[in-house]
Amino acid sequence: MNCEHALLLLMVPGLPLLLAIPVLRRQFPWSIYIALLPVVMLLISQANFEVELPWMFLGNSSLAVNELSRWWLAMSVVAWLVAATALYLFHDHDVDNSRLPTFFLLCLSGQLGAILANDIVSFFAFSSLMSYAFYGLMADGGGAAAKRAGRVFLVMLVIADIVLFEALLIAASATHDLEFSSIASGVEESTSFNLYLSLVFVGFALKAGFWPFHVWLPLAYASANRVTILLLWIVPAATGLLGIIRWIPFGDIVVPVLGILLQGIGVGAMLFALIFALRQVQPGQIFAYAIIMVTGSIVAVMGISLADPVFWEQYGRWLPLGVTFIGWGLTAVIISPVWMRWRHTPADGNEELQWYERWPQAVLRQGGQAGYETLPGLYASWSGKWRNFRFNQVWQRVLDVVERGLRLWTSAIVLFLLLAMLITIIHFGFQYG
Amino acid sequence: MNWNTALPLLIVGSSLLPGLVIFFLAEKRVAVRITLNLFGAVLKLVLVGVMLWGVFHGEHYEARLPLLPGLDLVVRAGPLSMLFVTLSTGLWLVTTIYAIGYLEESPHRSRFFGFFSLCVTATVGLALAGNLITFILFYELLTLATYPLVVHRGTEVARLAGKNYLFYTVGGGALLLIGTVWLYTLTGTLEFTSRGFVSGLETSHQPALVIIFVLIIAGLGVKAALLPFHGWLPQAMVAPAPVSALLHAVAVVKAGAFGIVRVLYDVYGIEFAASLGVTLPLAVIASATIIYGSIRALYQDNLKRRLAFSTVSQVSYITLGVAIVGPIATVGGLLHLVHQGVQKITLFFCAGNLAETLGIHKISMMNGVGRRMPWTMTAFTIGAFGMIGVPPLAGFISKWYLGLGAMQADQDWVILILAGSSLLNAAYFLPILHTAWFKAPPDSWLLERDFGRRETAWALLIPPLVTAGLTVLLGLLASAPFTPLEWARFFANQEYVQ
Repeated sequence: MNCEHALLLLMVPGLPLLLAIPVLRRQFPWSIYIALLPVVMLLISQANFEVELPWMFLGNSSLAVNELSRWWLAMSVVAWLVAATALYLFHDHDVDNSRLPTFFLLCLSGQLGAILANDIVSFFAFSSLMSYAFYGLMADGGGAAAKRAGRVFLVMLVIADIVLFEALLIAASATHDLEFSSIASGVEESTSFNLYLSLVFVGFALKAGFWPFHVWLPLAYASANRVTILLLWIVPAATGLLGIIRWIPFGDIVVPVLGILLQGIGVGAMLFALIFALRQVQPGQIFAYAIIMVTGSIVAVMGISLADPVFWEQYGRWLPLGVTFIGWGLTAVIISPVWMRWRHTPADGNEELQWYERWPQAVLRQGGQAGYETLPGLYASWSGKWRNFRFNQVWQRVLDVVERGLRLWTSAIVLFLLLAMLITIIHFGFQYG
Repeated sequence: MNWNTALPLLIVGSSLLPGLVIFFLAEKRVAVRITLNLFGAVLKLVLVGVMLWGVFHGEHYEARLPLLPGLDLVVRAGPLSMLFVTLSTGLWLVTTIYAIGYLEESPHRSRFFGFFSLCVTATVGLALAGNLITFILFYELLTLATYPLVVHRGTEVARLAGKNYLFYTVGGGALLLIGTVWLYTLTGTLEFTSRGFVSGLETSHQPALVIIFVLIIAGLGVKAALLPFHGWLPQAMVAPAPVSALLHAVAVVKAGAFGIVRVLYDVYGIEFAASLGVTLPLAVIASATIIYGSIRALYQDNLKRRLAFSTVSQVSYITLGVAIVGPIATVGGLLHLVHQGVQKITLFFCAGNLAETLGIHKISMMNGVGRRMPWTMTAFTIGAFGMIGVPPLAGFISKWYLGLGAMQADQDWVILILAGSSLLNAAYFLPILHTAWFKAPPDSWLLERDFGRRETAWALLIPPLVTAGLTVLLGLLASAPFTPLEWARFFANQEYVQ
């Protein structure tokens, strides 16, 4: 590896991060395209290499480009380029002076950094940056529904980060070297191995919106801006899948019980998505259920691989290819109606349905609104109850009373300690004096 | 007196002398006062840098002045003291700059900056203290120097908060003093030593040693805001923002937490303290404080009050880290001493900016403030994310070592405390960020001061940006040379690996 390669690798997440600073970004026209240049150059260069960053995070951090990361980069760069174009073409306001590019570039930096991360701490750090910035993308400029989707996503994200943090601690206590290649052997020997696996699956499922933690995903597809919708596959879902592949040594371990459980969850996700997709009324949500179906099938594949490692050895290498093609396909499917509508908008502003929009309508007519309305309604009802519970004045009053009590107790404890001390001194005084 | 003897005294004196001169300056001598303030702060920082370099290369710095028969006033540099001295000195410089901007038009500035300098003198003195009596002297000086700052505004609420502060801290100081005197009668020395000077005592003294430990920790726990001695801290938030920064990040609560570390390691010795059975109850009290402080923070609408309860919670991480007993958890606790300071000062600076520029004191008034004050809110966002422990910020690194240390010490319940606390931190910080960035701003602000094209005055804006930048750097480059992580590891290796 030479110096240019190291610089290029660092620039892939570094340049978007720098350009996310509004003052800097405004100096460069088309700054988002500029931010994507290093990753394009990295894909053109064929060499696989690694750069060690001994000063970063907890030490032993490194970034690397290899076969697996190339597939994810290839998928991502296309989706980001399309999303950037959508941002410049379809955004209603002055792009360079809005906040959306800041969130966009932060998210880009985090996602590319997570793909290139060669150890679990770097992956965790970059994916956190990506996810919180993605929340910004969802909430910024969106309506009430988009903000609600963002809030649900945020709650899931916080819990996911805590769960993954616990998994990180288990991995770190089992092995001092936190590189992905060392995790496999280190964690396998740990007594908390099953807990580690479970935490990783639950953490990434929460973060990526896998079934049954998918609640925010249909909401986001129905309400978020176009740019965000374009990124819903590659940012949370595909990066979550990459995380699972990286954090769990598939092919090296046999965990039949968890494997069967995951197969069940995967099949459940596919069935759920199939039933609900047929009952939707909003076209956008079709994509959400398509994603749930795809991630469900991948989870099932992972389950099979945990039960039978030979399966992973034989077919595991096709997974990145599949994820990449799904990413490209989804990008094309999502952008084409938007693009064609943009090209064919009637002069009088009346928007007629185009041919490519009619078939989803036909499918949608098959479904009722029951399924769609049940879950959000249930969620809204429970979230309302929780809000009432949380902000109930009674709780505040109880805590205030506790606070006043504590103040009295403080005085009492001080006096008690002084008294105890006095008695002890008198006691010792008599004893030794 | 050679250089190695003079340097600790110079470091203490570099803020004391300017402070004393400032007391006698007329209000209108603004330029002289600013020059003296900045000169003292920069000089102290340079001297601390020199000492840091020296300690890293094995130099021994110690000054000893006779105080009482058998008791000397000792100031000495070591890895633990350098960690706290560097933090206080670095943050003092930015706080001074901030205070100059904040108090630009307010009365009694000479009095304020005089006591301000005395505060940092006391903090650096107690950080460098080589024995318990020196520590107590500076500890009490800190109490007395901080009181006028808490009541600086002179309002009824401020006076009440000051009275409360004095009641708590003087009471705590009395307990600390009594414990120390009792300890002296048993040991005949108060000199801090690496394995603790108490550990050599006969086993018959153990009941008395446990009582003394309770007295001393209760005394220090007042400043460290340990449950149930935390009541003064949320009330003291009526003080001006630079004072809040001083209380929460640079001096007062840190002095208490630092004192607990000192007592555990250099008075009792961590292994001896563990054998007395006092570390586990301390860890439990710290954990209860962490959760209680976070729950209380959740219900506060007043921004500074929410931050104050957050401090109650966050400072106890330091106590928890050392009470877990183990090298890695100790690294986590010591790291949090620095990281919490940098993050919390950022948040208080930002709260001050919102109050001074737009008259915002409550979270419910912060709708869309990110659009009006983007730089301030960016700094606030970084500080808040750091507090939650989001990587790669500083808070993540200290929580990482605390969690890993708990696992190493087989104290798995601590992991649940950390997880619960992180969840609560997110629950009380993220709504603030959502309100500030994603809600629509009002047509006009309560009290809007005009700063032209800038969102606020430079002196108010630069300090939070600097400390927010530090929050990022301390996390991102945690493993670089001379970082707090390296110093904390240096100290833990000394204490545990022999």
